[in-house]
Amino acid sequence: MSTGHVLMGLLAAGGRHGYDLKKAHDERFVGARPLAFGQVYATLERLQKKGFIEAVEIERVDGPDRTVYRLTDAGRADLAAWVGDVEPPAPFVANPFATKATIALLVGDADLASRYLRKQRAAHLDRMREYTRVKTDPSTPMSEVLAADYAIAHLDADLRWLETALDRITALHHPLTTESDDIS
Amino acid sequence: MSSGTPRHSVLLRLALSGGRSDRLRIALTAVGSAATTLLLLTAASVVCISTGDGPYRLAVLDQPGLRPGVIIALLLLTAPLAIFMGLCTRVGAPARDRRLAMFRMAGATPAEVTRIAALETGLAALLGSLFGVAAFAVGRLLLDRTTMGTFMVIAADGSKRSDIGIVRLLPTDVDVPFPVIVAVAALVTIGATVASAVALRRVRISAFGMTRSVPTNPPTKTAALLFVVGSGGLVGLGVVSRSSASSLPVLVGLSFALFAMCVVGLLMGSASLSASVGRLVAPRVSRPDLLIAGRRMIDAPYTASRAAASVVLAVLVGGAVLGTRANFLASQDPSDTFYADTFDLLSIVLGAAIVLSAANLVITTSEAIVERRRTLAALVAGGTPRAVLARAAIMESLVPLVPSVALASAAGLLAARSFFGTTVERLASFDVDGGNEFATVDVPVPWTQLVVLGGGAIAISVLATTISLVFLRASTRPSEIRAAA
Amino acid sequence: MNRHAPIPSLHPAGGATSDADRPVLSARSIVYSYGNTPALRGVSVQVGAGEIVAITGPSGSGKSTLMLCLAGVLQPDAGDVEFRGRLVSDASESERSALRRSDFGILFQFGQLVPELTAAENVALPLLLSGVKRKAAITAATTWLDRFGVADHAASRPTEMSGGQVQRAAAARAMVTEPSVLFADEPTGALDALAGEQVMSQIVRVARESATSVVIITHDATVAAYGDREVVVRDGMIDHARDGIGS
Repeated sequence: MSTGHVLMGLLAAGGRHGYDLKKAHDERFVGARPLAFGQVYATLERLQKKGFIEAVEIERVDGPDRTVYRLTDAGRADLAAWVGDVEPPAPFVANPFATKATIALLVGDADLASRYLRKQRAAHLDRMREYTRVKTDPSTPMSEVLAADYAIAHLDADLRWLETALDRITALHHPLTTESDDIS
Repeated sequence: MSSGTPRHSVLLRLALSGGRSDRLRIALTAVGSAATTLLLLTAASVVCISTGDGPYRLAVLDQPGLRPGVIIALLLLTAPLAIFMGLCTRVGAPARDRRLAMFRMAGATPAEVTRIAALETGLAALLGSLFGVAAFAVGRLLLDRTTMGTFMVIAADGSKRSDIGIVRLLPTDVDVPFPVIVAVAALVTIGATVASAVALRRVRISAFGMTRSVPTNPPTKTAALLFVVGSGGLVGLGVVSRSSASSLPVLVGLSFALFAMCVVGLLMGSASLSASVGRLVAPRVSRPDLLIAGRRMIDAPYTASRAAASVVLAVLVGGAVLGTRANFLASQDPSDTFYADTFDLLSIVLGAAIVLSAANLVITTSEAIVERRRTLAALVAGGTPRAVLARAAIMESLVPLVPSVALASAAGLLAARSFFGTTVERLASFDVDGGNEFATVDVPVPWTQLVVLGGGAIAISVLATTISLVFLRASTRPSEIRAAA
Repeated sequence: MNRHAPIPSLHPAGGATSDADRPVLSARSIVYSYGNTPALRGVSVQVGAGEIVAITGPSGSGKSTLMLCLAGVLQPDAGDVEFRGRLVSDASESERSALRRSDFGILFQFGQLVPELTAAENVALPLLLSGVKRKAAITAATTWLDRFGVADHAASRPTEMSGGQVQRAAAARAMVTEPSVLFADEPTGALDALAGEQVMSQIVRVARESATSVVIITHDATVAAYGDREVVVRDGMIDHARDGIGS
């Protein structure tokens, strides 16, 4: 993800200064990692050097001076090109669950791995339940619904993997150990 | 496959690769063609009665002049059988359609798929007609009985006299020539095959399933017009024929045409009657069984009426026969049983026709249940009592049947009464000098027999529908909820 | 710590009244076999008042069989199913049928509406079965169709409606008798994501409004996430995965 293009995108609607951009970013992209101020200013400097943005005025409210930036025509063209470009599918997928399950098989047995996967599954579903509640609340703004959809889809992908992994491990070894049957 | 056209053995294997409902269809087709073959061979042996054969207990068999009537009656009986076999092609139709669509998906041409389906029917029909021939041969041996009875003897000068002696019950002594037997078996097999191919022509088999062209609105005006003109014409014709001297062939031809109009009107009308009754009932009732039945009658008026058609036809003919019988019996001395015997035989034939028609009803009703099993199973799981669904199925077939049967028997009776008149001349006293005296007698309306005919037809239809309800329990098992349509 | 207690904040009753604590529906060690194939091998589940429980598990795990036993459609070979203190598993077929009609609502994946009836007539059907007059039944049905947002289609046939609309009408039919428990077997299985979401969120909303307990059967985690609690069935048994999860 290119931070430069995200900032340029936020500038597309009109001029803003750095602090404003950071706030706009964090509000709009709920669930994404918040931007650091240093990162915002470094990126803006880089964009200005490339001629994609330009400083238009210096605003001074009751605090430090704030430079307001605006998108240039070159920046607009670059942004349009970026929006049209395909993002390459991630070449390496971080898979902490697979790693953990593999280690569980190494240090323990199929039971240990299965127990871990089932707990992980339950934890994932708890998280998914929270996002579902957010998503179905009529007062939730669209940006958050979209973010919740995204999170649910990713959790769902993890859950599918967890389910398959469980099937593989239990199918290779023995059926589940039974525990007490009370559930209330 | 190396060549362009598949080998017949391949088609054969594909034709016989179906499931449970396919086997049921094959079995029913075989039963139908066996019965048709048996019936045609019986007709053939009546045709083949020659001077050396007999005598027979029944006058209609014994007297050459009466035999054409028997032959026509037997041939008429093949009509409900033909409908039965036509309905057989509908058994398990959704499953077969999916199977045939799969063949299309796998690259079979429409013609090949039609050939596969026709081959299946053809083989079943061939097997059935071979069984029919065997049953005929066995029946001839088993039913070859003789009793004492009266029969007619025609002397060399052409005069007739009654005689008493050993008579046969049935023409079991007649030899039906072998080529005739082969011809009958071939006729049934080929007829069934061609019929199934023709039936499939209305079905467009694509790789994505079937689209069946079903007329949505059954014709009401045409049907009513045909029926009114037909039955009105018959009454009018009867009045005209008695008051003025017309030529007999014209009269017979006209009455046949009018009768045919009546029949077509009734058959077309039973579907539209079904839809109209449904439209009257469905938007008003509070009873769930009537609601379901009424809506079904609107949406699928042909389902019930297709099978009910043959019941209605039999009742129409039956009404005419009863009217004629009343007329003939009124003109005859009560001690003479000649006409009574003949009409009894006719009644048996009609009864058989009604029973066969009811068998058709079993097929359509059970097919309608099996086809909708997922919805029915879901309803039962949701707490709808099976009895409600059973009553809905019975109502769906019977509500349109009752008015159709009433109309048909009334039309048949009216036609007979107008044709033969409501009064007859009966021989009152016999004088050796030839001065016979005749008395005018009113022909009674055979109310009792009419009620027996109509009520019996309806009762048998109720029974038939009830029999088909054995499928309801299996079709509403919870496992059917997730079954494919 | 009672690790299986419903999350308190999600409980519509809010407080821990004695009535809310008592389960509406409970199964004790139920066993069910199809011929020689065991589907349920001793399953115990409880459903609280107003609680939304998702029963999940891989296909063939026995979750649908469990639902059919809970709903009194199937009679377990062993074990009890109890509804509000009444033993469902011992009742006769007609008693269970009456119970399903009055106290339970059942929603399936598809194909449950009578295709010849209008949506309103379909929804009115359970009321007509209990002897309600047509006019009152249709009025009630239209109200329920409205609660599921498909009142516009009251006079339509199921074939004239979209998959999501049909499912919402089916949900209205399941709810029209104001049942204590709504069973939903893969209610979104035949729908796309958005239509499924609409069906699920409406079911949950209506169930919460009327304090109806819901038992959702699904293999889809995104559907299970609508529940307050998940019960996982594996191999005909309950999977106690939550053992040891801190909460």
